[in-house]
Amino acid sequence: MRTHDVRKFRAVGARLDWLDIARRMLRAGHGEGIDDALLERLKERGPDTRLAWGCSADLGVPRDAFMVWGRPVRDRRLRNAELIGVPVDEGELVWWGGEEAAQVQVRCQVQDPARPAALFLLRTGLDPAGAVGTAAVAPAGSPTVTLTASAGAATHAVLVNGHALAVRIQTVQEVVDADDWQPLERVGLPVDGHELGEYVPDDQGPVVAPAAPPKAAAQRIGRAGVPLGWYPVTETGRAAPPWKPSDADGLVEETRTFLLPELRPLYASGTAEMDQHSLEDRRAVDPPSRADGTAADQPASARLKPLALLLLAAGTDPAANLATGFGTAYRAADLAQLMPDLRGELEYLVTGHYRRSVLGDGVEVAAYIPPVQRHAVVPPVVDLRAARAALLPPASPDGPFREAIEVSWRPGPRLATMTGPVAHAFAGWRHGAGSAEDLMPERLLGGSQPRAIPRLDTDDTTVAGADRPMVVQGDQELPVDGSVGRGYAVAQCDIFGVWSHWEDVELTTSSPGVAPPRLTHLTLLATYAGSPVCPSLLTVDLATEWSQRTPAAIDLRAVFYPMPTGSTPAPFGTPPTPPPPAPNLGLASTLTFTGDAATASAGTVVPLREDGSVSPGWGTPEQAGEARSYRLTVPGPGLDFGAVSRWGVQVWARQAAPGIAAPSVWVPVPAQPATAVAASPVPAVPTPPPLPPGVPLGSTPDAQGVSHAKVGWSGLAGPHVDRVVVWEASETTLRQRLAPGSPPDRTLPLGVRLQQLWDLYDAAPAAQRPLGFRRAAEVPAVPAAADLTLARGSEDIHLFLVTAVTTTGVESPWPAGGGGLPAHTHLQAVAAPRLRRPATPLVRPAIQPDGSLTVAFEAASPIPVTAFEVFATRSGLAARDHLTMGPPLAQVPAGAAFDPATADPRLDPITRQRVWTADWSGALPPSWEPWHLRAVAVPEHTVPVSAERGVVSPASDVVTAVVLPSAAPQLDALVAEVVGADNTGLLVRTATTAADRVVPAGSHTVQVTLGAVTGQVLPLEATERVADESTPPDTTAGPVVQRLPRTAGRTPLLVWGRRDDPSVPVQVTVRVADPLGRVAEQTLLMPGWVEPRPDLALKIIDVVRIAGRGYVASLLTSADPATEPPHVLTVIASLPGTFPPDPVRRRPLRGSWELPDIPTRRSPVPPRGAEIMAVRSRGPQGTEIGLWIPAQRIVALTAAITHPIEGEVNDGWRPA
Amino acid sequence: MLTPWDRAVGELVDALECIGAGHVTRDVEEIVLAYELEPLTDYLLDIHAVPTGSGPRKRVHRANFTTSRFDDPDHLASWIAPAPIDHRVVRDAAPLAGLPDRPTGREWDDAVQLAGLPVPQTPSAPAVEVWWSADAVPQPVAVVVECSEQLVRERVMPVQLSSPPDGVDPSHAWWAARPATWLDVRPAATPPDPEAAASAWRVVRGPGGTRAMVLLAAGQRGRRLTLELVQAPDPLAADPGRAVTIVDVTLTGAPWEVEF
Repeated sequence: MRTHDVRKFRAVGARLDWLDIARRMLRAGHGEGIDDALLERLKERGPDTRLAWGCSADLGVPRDAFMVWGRPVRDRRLRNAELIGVPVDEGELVWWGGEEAAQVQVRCQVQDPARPAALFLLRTGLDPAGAVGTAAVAPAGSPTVTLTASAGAATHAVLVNGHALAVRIQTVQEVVDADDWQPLERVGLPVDGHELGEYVPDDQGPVVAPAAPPKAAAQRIGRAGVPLGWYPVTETGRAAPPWKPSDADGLVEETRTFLLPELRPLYASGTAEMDQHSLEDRRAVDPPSRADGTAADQPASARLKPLALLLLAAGTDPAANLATGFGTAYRAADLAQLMPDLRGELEYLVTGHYRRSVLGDGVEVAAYIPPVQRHAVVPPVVDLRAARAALLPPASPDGPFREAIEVSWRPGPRLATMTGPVAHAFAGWRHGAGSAEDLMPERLLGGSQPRAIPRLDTDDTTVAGADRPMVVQGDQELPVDGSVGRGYAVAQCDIFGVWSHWEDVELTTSSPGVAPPRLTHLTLLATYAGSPVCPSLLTVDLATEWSQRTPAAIDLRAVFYPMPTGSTPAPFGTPPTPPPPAPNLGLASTLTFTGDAATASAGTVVPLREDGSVSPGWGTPEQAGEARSYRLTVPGPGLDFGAVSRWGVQVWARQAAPGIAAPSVWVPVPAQPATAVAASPVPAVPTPPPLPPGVPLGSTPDAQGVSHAKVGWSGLAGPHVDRVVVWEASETTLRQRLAPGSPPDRTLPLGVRLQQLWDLYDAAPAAQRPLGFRRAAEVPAVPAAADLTLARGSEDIHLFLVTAVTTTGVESPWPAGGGGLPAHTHLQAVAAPRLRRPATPLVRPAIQPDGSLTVAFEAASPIPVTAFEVFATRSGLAARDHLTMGPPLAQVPAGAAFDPATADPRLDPITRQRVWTADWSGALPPSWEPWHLRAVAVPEHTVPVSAERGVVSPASDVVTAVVLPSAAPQLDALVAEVVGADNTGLLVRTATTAADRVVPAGSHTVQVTLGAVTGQVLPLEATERVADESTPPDTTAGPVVQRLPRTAGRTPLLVWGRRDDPSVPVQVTVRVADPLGRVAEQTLLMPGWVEPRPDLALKIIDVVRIAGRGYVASLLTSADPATEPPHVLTVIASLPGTFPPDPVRRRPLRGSWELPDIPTRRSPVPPRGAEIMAVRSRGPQGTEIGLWIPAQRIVALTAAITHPIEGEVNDGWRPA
Repeated sequence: MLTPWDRAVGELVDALECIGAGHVTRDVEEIVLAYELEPLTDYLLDIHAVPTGSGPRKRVHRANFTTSRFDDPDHLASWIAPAPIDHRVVRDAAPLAGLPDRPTGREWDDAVQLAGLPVPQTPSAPAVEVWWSADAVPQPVAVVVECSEQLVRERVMPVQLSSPPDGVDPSHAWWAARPATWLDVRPAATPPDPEAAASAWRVVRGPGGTRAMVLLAAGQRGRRLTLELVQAPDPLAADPGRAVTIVDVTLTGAPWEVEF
């Protein structure tokens, strides 16, 4: 029983016309070496019929040789099949139900008669490139054509340029079951006897001439061996490596020697064919090694699958395909011998017998090969690339680097047939070489050996590019300096041994550049040397690689840059051309290596161990690692910290290696600069304060009993001063430190003691001066003063001194004078003040005969008294404390008192303090109350030399003095007015200096006489006190006196009264008397009341001219015609004068009437006569008067009303 | 106001990775110790870290302080407010006007003496003085508050500090304990009679903090001055501070203004 499954067992055939292939090489220009003799031999050989087959891994390989069958092509036994046509992009899908067909015939309607119609038999997909059988026909004007194609197995087809009308098929099963197949040849492994276990060692070869398997294999190879190898010239014209054909016997021997032993497990007893793919052999192998002999130190093992070994050799090597029995070939003579009656084409069948397989037990598995087609072309590789796969360091320092080059190309499509490229050749050359050399190893027993093209499963690949077929040339040496060019060529062949032409690719590589050193540590140190420009010291730790290349020299560049802020970035990315631009400063040094030792062109260099410590020697063993470290210490430029508080340094390094022209790049890169920062070491030195005279005072003790002192400084206002430290030492402490056993003599004045302290301080060594000082406070530098407290109750002189701390943490040295000044100029002395207060002064007042006051003052005091202050007040309450008595009345200079007899200073007999006296005489303002006098003794404010502060003495006892006014009180002139609706009331205003209170001498009195009525004498304080004039009293009983609040030493008085007839004049008299009876009096005659008249008025309201006749004027006046004596109206109308020859002024028209004499009318329109006339009437606003002026033209009109009492008013008018 | 913790996290949060933080305490906790302190007594406060289980305790903070005579600003104000109001005449106000806000002891003493007043002595009890000019119509020049206790006090307070201008990160700020004014005297922020309120020029604090001189603007005669004792706020403890009235005086006139 035969079965078939094209997925498990597949066969393919081709007709190889080697003469045609050779001619193709010549036409392509790649036929170098193909001569006429070869062409003649190929012509004599004729075309080959080459067959090949293969098994899937899960099917396995049979235990017997394959049998090749053949039969002539006869009429097909085709049968109609159901047609399903589906338009697709490629054309029309022809589907007949999915049966595997060996023959397919399609009748179709041509769509474009000008183009051929084609039929592609397919097994997978719709791409015609994957066709397993094809047929094409030119329509030649026929609207329908029939296409017939054969294939090992096809399930559907694509029809191009046609529409299928019918389909007929012959299934594969029908073909393989045909009974007309004739056996042609047994093809199998070249076994000798039972060396492969149960593998049948029967004879193999053509059925007409069987032979032992090895011999049959050699004959098969000799019959089918390829006469042409790869193309003799590569793509770029270089001679390809010579093709070395394999020796048939050698190939069989190689197969038997190296392959067959590995295959024994496949044919072991009890191993089913379906289990062969699971067999595996794991064995130890040599680890990976390099050309220099070094090898990996890890054990290595290999996992071998015998079936895979066999199928790989049979499926990828055209020669091994024949040697292992998976292919054969027949020349025309061979076919004639096998089938003498052959006419026409043959088709083939390959069968293998399986005992137990996935297709069944005891089955004969068959693969159908349609009539072979001519085959001459294999596509070249596509997208060939070359790249460095690995770079290997030199085996010893300064040796060459080595590299591995990988060459890859894009894989071709997987085809359903077995005709695609399966192996490749790999050749290479160095730049400039004319020929390429074979980079593939030859066969073990000679002959060029194609290498299988790896077919990776892209679904399992995750690395980009890993799906590309690749070949690697490893362990290639690189020049120490410079580059090298290499070229590679790749050609590929199919299982029949037909080669594509070469594809070339070139690559230029070089050794890696010199590796730069690494800067591992960097420090910058600035040292204060007495000025803002500070010397600097740069220390650089660097490391360099030593296992691959040793350094010849290491260059270092440094740029110092000022940093206005702590975050100022490094100014340069790469080292600038020296010198760097201002204000930056530059520095350069070169380390030159001689063997293991190094010398520096600037600075000193020392070797370091791996841990960073200084090594005692150069090189090994202290510097035994792959890298070596060094420390360069080089003096830098002077850094000016006058304007900035920090300087930074940026450092670069590069390395040169022996034998290499180009040094390394500068490191570090700009994004990661190597910098170090030095903060300002310049201290802030305070300026010595001016020395005051005496000993400055602290404050009087506060509520806590401590005295406060102000410590100031100058010269520390710079931005780099962070804080100020105030140091303090007491007189006692400092003397204990500087002059032990010499306590301060407190009997001496403080000024003397301070001078002693200064002398001790100046004489002391500089290192001992800080002794005794304590750190009293740390305060901000601004404001330039601080308040510090002295020890409670201290009577010492306290010395303060100031130092400063910069923002960079540098504290100024202990101030030591300088500039010719002694050291003590930096000391600020302070002492708590001693309060000195004079005794209460004695006050002896005396009234002189002229009334003046003389006061004698006397006070004993421990501090000089500068003056006596006299306070005077008439308020007994205010006099309780002299501080509430207001400003002093007088300040009397004091003087020391002396004994008039001995001229000795007067001393207080009890306190033995000096007595200070003063005399004062002056006048007190007169007052009815007594003056309260007190006096204080005012001492000197301060006495610096003894640190004393004077306190005003207690006030003396209160001394009273009375200075009475010398005359009667003053009384202002009277001012009166009429009040009341009936004008009968009177209000008289005045003011007096008399006190409205009871004074020690009694009361002041007031008396008013109004007309004939004289009021009673009243004490001034008994009068009603009012706030203003808004409350008139009842005056029916007589005049009443009110008083307003006293102001400015006067008591305002209001005298209210009345008279029955307001028109009758009345006299008012006000009298004020003091307690001593002295009287002041004022009198006023009050005239009678007269009703005020309205003001006399006259106005010309209107003047109307009546042409040719006269003027009518309207007047309005307030004058009453009933008034006696009467008002008089006078009107004057001025007439224009005549003109030349003699200008004459005409007399004006004039009229005058007493107002009662003017006739009245209801309307004040005057009659128009020949004389000037007037009429009057009474209107709401007064008397209306109408005038008639008989003149043709007037130039002015003047009206006037006169009255002997009310006077005269007038008005005028002029024409416009 | 952010707590130091919040501020630090806020500055770093952009650069931090997300973490699982389910038990982060963010509050600044204020613990009131139920311990009655004696007045005018020196104390030492130690804070120990005590392990949850066993193990030695470790001192993490120590502070020394001295208690006042008074419980709180209210107590001190109740001592000052009843003080009698005295009046003084200032012969020359210029030295007073020239005083800095924080004069040294000598500057204070000299200015007072030059102004015609006796050099100040340690008061035994609170006192309030109105200093008047020597004009014919005296004008109030200053109001001086004196006390036997400190009116102006400094103590270590949480203060936000900034990096120096030339520092690496000038924008960096942090909290630190620094001496700062904790108790002060100032004119009332909200006087009881705003229309009649006297206008103060500035306040001069005497050394030791026992005196405060409130210099008045010109023409304040007849107006009313109210002074407060102000306790500064504590932003970290969320204490808004407080103000207590200690002086309320109407500047009517000087006692030596006697009309005859």
